[in-house]
Amino acid sequence: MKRNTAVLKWAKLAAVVVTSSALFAGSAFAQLAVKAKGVQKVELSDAISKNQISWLSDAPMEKIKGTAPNVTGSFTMNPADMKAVTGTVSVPVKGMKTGNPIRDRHLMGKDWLDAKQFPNITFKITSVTAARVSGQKANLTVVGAFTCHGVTKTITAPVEVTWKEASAKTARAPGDWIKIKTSFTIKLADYKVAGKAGVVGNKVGDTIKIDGTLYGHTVR
Amino acid sequence: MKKTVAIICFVLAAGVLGYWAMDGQHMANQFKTLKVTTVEDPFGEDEKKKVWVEEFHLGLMDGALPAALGLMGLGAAFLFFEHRSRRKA
Repeated sequence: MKRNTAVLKWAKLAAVVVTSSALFAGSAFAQLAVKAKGVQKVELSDAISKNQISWLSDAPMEKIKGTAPNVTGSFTMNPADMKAVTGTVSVPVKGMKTGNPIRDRHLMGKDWLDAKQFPNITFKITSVTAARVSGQKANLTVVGAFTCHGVTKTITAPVEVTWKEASAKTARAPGDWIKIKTSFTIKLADYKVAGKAGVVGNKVGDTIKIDGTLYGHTVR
Repeated sequence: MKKTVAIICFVLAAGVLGYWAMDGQHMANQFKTLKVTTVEDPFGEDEKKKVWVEEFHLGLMDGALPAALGLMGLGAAFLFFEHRSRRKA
């Protein structure tokens, strides 16, 4: 009986330690090991490396790969609290390429993304639900408003943020450099992108996988 | 002679469809192909760079199928004329 009580006490203690560790990992330890202090404004810049969004439609009849250049965006990041990241990324529909000019024109047309009426696809970060930080890298679980074809939906995406402090090697763009990497999937039906009858699900995937590698720098 | 031309047309049609099947079975013509290369980015990390390069792949709907159907139609026409000239003779 005494032995059982002792085991129960230790189990309770272990539970408290595990719970508090988890809480710390999610908040107080979400701190990057960088010199920058306070909230930093970050702007995407092609001067560091080309910002690139690519996407894949994997349908039973055809696999279509596409890219979206001219990505713009800005963020606020506090290296001491990576859970407080905010920001928006915008991708113009007009520049999207699929390797076939006729298909590109269809993509911009009314049946698909309707570039005239909805010129941009945007993602606005609303919150960060988890942050795992190691040195100058943070792995975040970001919740945001994804707007495509005039429809806004809340999505969750994993985002990897890498911080590189300003040095002689980073002279071609001002401030500290930030790399943002993400990969997530969207469902076309969620955004009322129906296409021509019978195409989605056969030649175009029901879901589109989106990958992004973006580079930016802090603005002073 | 007409029969030979018809056979050549049918063989060419089969060849076009065979080429399409071997060339990735694209539904639409692909004028540029997205090439993925792993490069070291300014952060010293491996990064997959995706670049469009001029590389044509035949599509079924706007390339292989119209060409094959055209050749088969031509072959059928030659067979028809061959048949008609035989009947006349």
